[in-house]
Amino acid sequence: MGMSDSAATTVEARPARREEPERQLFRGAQSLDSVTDKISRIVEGPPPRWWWPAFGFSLSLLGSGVFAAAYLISTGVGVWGLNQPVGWAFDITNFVFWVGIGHAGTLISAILLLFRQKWRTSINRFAEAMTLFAVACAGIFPLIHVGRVWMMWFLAPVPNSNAIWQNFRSPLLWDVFAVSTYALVSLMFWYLGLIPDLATIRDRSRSRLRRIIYGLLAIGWRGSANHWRHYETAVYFLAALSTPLVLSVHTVVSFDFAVSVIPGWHATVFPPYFVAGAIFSGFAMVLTLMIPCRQLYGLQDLVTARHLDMMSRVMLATSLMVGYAYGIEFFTAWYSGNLYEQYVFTNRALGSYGWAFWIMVVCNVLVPQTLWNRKLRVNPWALFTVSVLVNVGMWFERFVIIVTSLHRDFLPSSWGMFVPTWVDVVQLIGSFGLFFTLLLLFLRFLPIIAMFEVKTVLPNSQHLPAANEDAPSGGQTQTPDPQQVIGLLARFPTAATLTEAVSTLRQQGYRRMEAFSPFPIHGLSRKLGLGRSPLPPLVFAAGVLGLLLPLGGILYLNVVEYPLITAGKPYAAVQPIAPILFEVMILLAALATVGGLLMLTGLPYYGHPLLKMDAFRRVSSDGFFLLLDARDERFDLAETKLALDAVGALQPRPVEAEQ
Amino acid sequence: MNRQQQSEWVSRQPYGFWPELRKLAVDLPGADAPTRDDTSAIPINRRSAMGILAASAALAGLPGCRRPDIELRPYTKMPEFVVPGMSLFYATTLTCGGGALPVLVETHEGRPTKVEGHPQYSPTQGASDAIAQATILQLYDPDRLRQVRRGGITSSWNEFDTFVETHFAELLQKGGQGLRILSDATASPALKHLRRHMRQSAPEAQWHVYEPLRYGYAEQAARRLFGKTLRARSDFGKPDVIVSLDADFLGRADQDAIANSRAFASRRTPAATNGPEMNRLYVVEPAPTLSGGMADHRLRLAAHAIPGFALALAAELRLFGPDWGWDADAVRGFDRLVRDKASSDTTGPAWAREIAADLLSHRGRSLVVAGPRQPPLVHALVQLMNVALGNVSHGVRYVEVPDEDTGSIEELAEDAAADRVNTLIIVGGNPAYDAPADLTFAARLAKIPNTIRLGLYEDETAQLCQWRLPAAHTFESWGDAETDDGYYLPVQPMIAPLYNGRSTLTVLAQLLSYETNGEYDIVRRAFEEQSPSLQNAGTFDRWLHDGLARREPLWFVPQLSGQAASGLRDLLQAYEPVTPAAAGREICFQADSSVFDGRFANLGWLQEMPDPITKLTWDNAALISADTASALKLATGDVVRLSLGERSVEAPVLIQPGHADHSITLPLGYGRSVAGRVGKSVGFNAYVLRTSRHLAFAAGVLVEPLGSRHQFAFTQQHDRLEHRDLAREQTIAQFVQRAAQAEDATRHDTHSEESRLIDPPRLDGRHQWGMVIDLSRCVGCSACVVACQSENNIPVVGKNEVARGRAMHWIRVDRYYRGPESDPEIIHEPLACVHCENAPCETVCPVNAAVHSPEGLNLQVYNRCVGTRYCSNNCPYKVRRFNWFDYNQRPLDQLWLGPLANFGMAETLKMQKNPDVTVRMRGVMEKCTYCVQRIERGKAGAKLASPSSSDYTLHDGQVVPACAQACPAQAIVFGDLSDVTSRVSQQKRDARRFDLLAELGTKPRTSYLTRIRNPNPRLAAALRPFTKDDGHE
Repeated sequence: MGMSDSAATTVEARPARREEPERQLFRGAQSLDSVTDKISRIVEGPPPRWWWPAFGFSLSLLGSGVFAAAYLISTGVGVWGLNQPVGWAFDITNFVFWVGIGHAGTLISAILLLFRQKWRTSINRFAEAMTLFAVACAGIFPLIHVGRVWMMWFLAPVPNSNAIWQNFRSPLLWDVFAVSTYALVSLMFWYLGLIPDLATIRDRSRSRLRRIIYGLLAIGWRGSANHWRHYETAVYFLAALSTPLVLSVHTVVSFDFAVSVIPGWHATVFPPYFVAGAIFSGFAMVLTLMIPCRQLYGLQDLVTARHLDMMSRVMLATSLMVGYAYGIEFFTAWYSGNLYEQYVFTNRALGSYGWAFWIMVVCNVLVPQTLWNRKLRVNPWALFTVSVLVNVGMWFERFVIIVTSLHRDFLPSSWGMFVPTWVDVVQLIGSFGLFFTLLLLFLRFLPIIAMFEVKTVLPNSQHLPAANEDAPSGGQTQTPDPQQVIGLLARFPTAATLTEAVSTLRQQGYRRMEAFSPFPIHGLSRKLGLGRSPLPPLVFAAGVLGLLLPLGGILYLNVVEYPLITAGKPYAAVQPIAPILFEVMILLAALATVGGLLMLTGLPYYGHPLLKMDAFRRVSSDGFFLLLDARDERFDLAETKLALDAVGALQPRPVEAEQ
Repeated sequence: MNRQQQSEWVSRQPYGFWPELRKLAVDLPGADAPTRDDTSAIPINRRSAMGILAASAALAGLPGCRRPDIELRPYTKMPEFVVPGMSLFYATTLTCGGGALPVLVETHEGRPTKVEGHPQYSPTQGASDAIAQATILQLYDPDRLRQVRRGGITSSWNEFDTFVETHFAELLQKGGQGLRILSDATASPALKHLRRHMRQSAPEAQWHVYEPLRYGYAEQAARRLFGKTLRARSDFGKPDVIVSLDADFLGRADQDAIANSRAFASRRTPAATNGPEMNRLYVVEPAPTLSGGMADHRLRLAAHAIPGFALALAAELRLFGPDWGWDADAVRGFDRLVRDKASSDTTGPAWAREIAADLLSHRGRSLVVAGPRQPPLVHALVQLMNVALGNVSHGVRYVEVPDEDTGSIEELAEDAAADRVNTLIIVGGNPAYDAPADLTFAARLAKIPNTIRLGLYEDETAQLCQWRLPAAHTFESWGDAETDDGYYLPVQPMIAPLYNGRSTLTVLAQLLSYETNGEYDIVRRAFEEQSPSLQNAGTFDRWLHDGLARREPLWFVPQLSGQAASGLRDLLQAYEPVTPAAAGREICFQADSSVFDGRFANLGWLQEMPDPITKLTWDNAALISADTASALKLATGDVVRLSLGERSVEAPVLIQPGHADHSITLPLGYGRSVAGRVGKSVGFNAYVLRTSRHLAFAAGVLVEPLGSRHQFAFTQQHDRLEHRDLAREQTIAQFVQRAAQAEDATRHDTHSEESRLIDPPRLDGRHQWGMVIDLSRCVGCSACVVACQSENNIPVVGKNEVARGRAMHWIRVDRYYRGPESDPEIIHEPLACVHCENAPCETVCPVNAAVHSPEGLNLQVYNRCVGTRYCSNNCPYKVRRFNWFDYNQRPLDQLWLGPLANFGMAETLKMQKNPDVTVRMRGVMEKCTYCVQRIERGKAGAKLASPSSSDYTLHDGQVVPACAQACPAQAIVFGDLSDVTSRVSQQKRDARRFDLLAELGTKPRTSYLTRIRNPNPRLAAALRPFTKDDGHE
């Protein structure tokens, strides 16, 4: 539709209070339409000139990684530099590194959402996408690092010909549950967030193909108040579920080490230490990618210095936590009086891999201290440098933890060294190839900033001044067939007028009506007489089921069906399976949330008559609409039209059912 | 081992990937029976089938998901004794270097798979060593010579027979003029029978014997003193004090090492109540050996200085005093000579004085031994000391060996140079490689008109001979052997010759026109000649069945002959005293711990067995001390050129803690230029420097650094204990002092069992398996390592993989140094999976591949294992081994080629595999199982022998894992802990018991007994020893 020729609904950024420029979430005049336009154009226009070479380069890196993996799988894990005693090195380092990176997205989306941090809206989509891609990269390594990849399905709790089930007490199995739950929930969370924006792209698209593809992806989203009512509940539930989940994932990853007996691994500080490190590295990666992106796509107005400032504060805080953890490990080793612990830490700092340790300390603890300086915090390129160094440092952190602990453990006779082979290195590079390939595809085809969420935090977005753009359009003058009319659709200039109109019409006795908006309008659904969403009990029930099902199942397997003695642990011990109970609980609750949302909103549904109306397309960018249902007792085509005119509707028009 | 290529000798059509897929034959245990010679069945085993199945399932959907065709065929005629699935043992004898070891060979459906020591042979009682264990691999070595070859062209036995008929008829007609036979040392009466026949049928012919590591110095000394050729038989179980002058009686170079280890170790534990007291060992030697590692006091001394030390010791013992029956003149002469020539200046007088005092206070209960490479003077002095101290017929006995009228290799070389040799038959040995360098034997060999070589391999010697005949392996031939102490032993075949070989007896009988119905017949005749003197021989069949018979040897009680004084004076006068520093750097030759004199170079098990001291695999090295290295500015791995006269060799240097200064030890047996695929071009050839004048050691070697580096492959890279209480050791005084606290050791078993919220699972199997390893007994010989490899189908991974830290041995012998680098103590600690009751590996396995059995075994379920390696990471003992590559199916030099590498195992190597043990594929973890297959076999046997399978008795000792069975020192005891009377239970209650890393709460089933040393307090005080707390430099 003619966006460019329509007079934009402009809003002067009206400072709520006097703010320094770097405290602003937006720069310049932003309107609903300008936000939509700015972000959608990235998807709609041709790719920028740098995109193709960058994509080609990433793809070639990915190709090298695929080659390395094929070589590894066909030949044996021996092509890596692993040995006895260093059974894990680059593989698990990369895994933990990528899982850590994958923490920022969900953290920004979920935790900051729960804390109502408005600054998250400009960066959450990007961070979530990054999370998913990082988790995809992470997932590859545990898969290919095993000796017999083709037997990996043994890790899935499905019956098999050996009639033995998994060892639910193994941290590796906890990993399977935690990482796959995390990947699934993050994917659902991300996709849920994308739906209104996909609808925007759908509604703006001019080519049929795009309309079909984005239409399919948008699952028939119409932005109705009922949609938004369930949607917001669902998103908050997913956020609430993701918050402990995101903390649990790196906790469980840290259990891979903390549960072992190996000095340097066996430490109770690991869960918080790893979580802090994950957030640290995740934020660093968001910054590493966001800073060039905002430059390349000219998004400085939406991702402002304020955002950079807030991100770097989180980084600084987590850097201090990580630094504290480094220190406390040494203290514990000294204080414990344990010979093996003491040796491992002395060796870590001063031994053969001391260089890696010092890279880690410099990058993760010393360099981020520069962020105390506010000027650096808002200087994109300084921040970029810091975040790249933090990424390097965090990779080395995992390398140091894994390799220096393994290479010199209890018996000096079995001490050894790890030296990476070219396959190790190519495998690491290849994972970056996968990451960047996915990221570039995301930049190209999906809205990289959550438009509808940005709109909710635009100053004055909830009460815009009237716009007069929607002049009577000539094409709509045909008298409709009253039998085919299913309702009257009216557009309102602002969210406030829409809300007002709803109240007035309800006072007049209208009951069957539906309001549509580009972002959720608080209080609207109450005014429409819609109650609370029935999602909560559903999610609760699913969560309880998710707790009891594995509890009962695993105890049955361990105690009755096939009791196996592992490490002398009691058959009925619940402690070692607690992580699995937790993850399954979150998983089922999250599935119930999304399933419930779809059920309650009746989506996906592609056949709604409104979706056929050109006028309705603005609903996903800046249009506020009210549909009065023809089935309402008070409905009368002419009379209702008058009533609508009276409440300030622009151009009420009848909606006809499908032919 | 090289499991290179689908062996080309199986002349089947080469097959690719798809034909294999079509024909999925699976070799179930038993399907490999000798009757299976159907060439249409393409041999694919379970693992290759699995790989193909997996690959095709992944590539092409599920075409591979069908049951493989299995053909089971009955025997049409049942072979005697064979019960499919049950193993059958044959008694036979291994011979090497003139010694003999009776063994039992386990066979499965006609395939020999494992060698065990003969349990009824009293000196060893079932023990064996690494080389004996590896003999089975030699039998199946795909690199063995497979056809008769003439001048490099494939020939046949028929052609050879024709040649013999014409050529030898002529030769024998001339009385054998120009006919020479060269063999290695043999202990076979049957062969001696043939030799006697040769004297008659071809009186002009001559038989030469060459054994590279036999020096004959002890025999020379005995002839000087006693006028007879005597061989000493020492019993290391009897003396209380043992002094070794460069004698590594526990090392492989000693023929009786197994018996010595057993006897010696039996006296290494502190007597509990009224047993014999613990023995004390003094060792004086240049390079640390197994014996040196066991010594209570070890004096490092260059080989050149040892005669001086022997003289000093003799002087302290007042050996030349009037008490010993010397006439006064002789005494005066000796005194002067000894004063002139004794040199204890390098060591201080304390050593000789205190050792002498200790010997004198243990008269009749002591033993002095000299190393075979020491000159006759040292042997003469040692023989005198034993006589003087009254040790003869207690710790040492002498047996008279008849002089054999055989020639030496020097004479042969001389004759060859003078064209006096027309036809030379070489059986055994490898003189072109290991003859003294000054003989230029290879060049002279090439000049001889007719040369015939009978050997297992096409080696350096065979390459220079016209006729190269494949020899039958010991396990393929008939023969016999006798030992110095009177055992008469059979050699019997248990498999038809795999490679078309003929035995030494057959070939020599044919060449010498000996009328016989075959080798069996010769052995029968030899047996009949022997049997009257044998105490319990019975019939020939009985002898074969028992595998041994004995007669009491004629012990010789030595008395000084009339010429003794003059003989000794000659030796003394000929001796030029030197100090090591003055003599310049010396080189000492010694047998390699793995490949001996080089004859076992193609056996991957031995190549990969780490040297007990250096922990070096797949290599030899020039061993030097740290001080010598710093004087020469050398580091481990630096390559040097060692020159002696005009001869030189390039060798990498290895700094050996405890090595004598000014001395360089060169292990022999490496640097083979023509060996199989395994042994070729491994290490350097030290024979190049070895001349007939300097067979043992030589001074004045020039060392020239070349600036290049050599990559070694060690299985252990860190030698220090880092103050960790891992390999415990006490002196006997400390032990006695602390014995009062002994109850503590037993109490710590049961701690923290109470007050649990939920009971842990009970290990409630009928048997509770456990093991105790006595560090006091373990000499570090590594027989267990190879025995385990043989029993459990453990692959060889090659030097490159070992260097990467990927050796696969399930049991390893950790060797730690304590004390200063220049002169540390050595302690060996064998370590396999300790079967923790609370096993850290089990809890972390995601797929339940590591689980515990109710009998206390830590099980590894291969078909569950996906290979996360988490178990290995979490194993505090680091005893788990991962199949990084398909070591069984890919050639070791093609591991990195992945799918492009050749696939499959040589047919013969498949035959070696123990059918009771799964052959592991790549990607799975493996580790010691306590030989679960033997446990189950033992239980099955006990159940069969009892009326009901639920009520059976399994006697202590009925189940013995391969390591414990092989152990010559009886350091490993295995058994049922639920039986309080079992040996293992008793040892668990020993005050010396400790559990490795017990503080981790793993509750290992394998325990250790603290090593006890018995130092001489007076010598220790005189030496002001370093502190014992694991002293770092």
